Amino acid sequence: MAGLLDVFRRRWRYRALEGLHEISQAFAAMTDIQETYGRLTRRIAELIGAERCVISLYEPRTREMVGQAPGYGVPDEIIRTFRYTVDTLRTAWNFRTQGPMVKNHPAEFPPVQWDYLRPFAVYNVTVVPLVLEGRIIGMVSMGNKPGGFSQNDVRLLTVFAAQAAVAIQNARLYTHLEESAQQLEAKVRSRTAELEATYRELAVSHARLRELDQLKSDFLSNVSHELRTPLAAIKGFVDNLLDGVTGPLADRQRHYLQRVLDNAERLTRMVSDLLDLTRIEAGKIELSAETVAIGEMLEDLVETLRPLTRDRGIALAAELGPCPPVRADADKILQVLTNLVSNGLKFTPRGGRVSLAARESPDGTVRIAVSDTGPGIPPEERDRVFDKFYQLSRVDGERPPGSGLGLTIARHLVELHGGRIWVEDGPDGGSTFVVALPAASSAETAR
Amino acid sequence: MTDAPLVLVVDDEADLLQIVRDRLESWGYRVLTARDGLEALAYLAAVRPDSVILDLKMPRLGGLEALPEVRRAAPETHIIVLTGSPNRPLAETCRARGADDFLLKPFDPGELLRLLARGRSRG
Repeated sequence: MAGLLDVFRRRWRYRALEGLHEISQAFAAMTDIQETYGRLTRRIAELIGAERCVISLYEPRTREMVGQAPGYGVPDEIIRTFRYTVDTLRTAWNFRTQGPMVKNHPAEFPPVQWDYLRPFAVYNVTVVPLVLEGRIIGMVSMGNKPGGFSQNDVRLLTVFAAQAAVAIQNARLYTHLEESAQQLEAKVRSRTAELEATYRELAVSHARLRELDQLKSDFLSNVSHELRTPLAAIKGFVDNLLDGVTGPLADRQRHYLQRVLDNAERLTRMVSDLLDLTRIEAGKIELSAETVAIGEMLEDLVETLRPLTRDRGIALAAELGPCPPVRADADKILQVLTNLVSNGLKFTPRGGRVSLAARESPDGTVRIAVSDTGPGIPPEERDRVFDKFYQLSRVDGERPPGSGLGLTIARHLVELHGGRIWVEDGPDGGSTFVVALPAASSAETAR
Repeated sequence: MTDAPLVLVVDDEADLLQIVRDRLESWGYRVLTARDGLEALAYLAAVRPDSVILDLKMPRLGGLEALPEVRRAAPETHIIVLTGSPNRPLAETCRARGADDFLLKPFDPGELLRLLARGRSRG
């Protein structure tokens, strides 16, 4: 009999160890918390030989033990109604001091416990706390073992409960991690969607800006055309009058008409300067680069402008030495130099001199200097003369001023060529404007 | 007087037509004026001017569109485009369509006279 009992005990121990091993292996890896409850309760019930098993967990927020579905031998909907405040539980049993609770006869149940247990239809019950790191995180309740729960059952159950607590904690952590991962993923998705929406908005507003830019360009070239038409009419009629197409004129009439013509021409220059500057600032100017012989360009320029200088008593001359060609848009450079020479003439008094010179500089640039014998520009104003609408006071009070844009356009055009423009002291207290352009050879090697 | 050169001026601006007409007549030219490309082509079906001065922006038929027709109708005529649009590519387009010269409004009368004289010496 003793031998049989030993065999029985050994088998028991073996099954218990096997059960523990299985629980620690399987439940440690178990990540689905529902599956954890289902398998734990089933495994424990089978090992102990009870008909019912339910796991409850402690909810610190509400201070309740809450039944966790699924259990074993109890329908899920009944488990879900099971909420047991710990304060009530304490009046019936104290796990800390009394250990596992075993009630093998209904008569042993306190009345308050009946209220909770009645739906489970149990005739005996054992409850073991789930303890993790010294804290009770829940409990395992078993019921209806035919013949009652033995001390051995309770011991086994206590060991299982320790394993189960770890398994539950793992599953909870995993679920929590998974939820965090999902939340993170959702956050990433929504941020990505936000970014995509922002990108789409940007693309739309970019397209709209381009459209507006085009509208502005069209508008400006229309305005330019519309302004030129009446100006052309004014200038045409006055030209005809001044040239005697309608008959001879008195001197005062001629003088007045000349003033009308000068102002009409100034307005025309302003319109084309404004259009030029708008195109430059919009990056719409394209250079058609060619090899330009600066010496020839300066000679041509002097020939073209000389008629303007004679009746004003100003000497205009080019002093030319050997000078390498530059790689440039000839029209644009001519526009810059014409502007500089016109300015020089405007500020030079009768009897003065405007001279042009070009030479190669050791830094690989060709420097073109336009000097006048005018009043000069104070050093503190030398940067500002290139600002938009900046006007210097002139010596020659008769001729109307320019648009105030000539030097701004000149600087833009020179810089588009990779060059520089600045003002220095000129001869006899005048100014010298210097344009430095990369020489053709160095411009070629720079490509 | 029948030897005086004939110029057809095409522009939708009455002011410009008058300015150019008065100016050309003072130089001894005979002048015909048209208000758009269609009127110009109607003239060219009947007369053969020495020069045509052609605006670009006009109602019904603009200068740019009329240019090839004008050139076909008057192969020997000197064609000067006179426009308010300062634009180098535009000047190239005009030349490609048969224009000989390109002059910007407001124009310098001396320059116009020079172009007309050049057209006559060439023709």
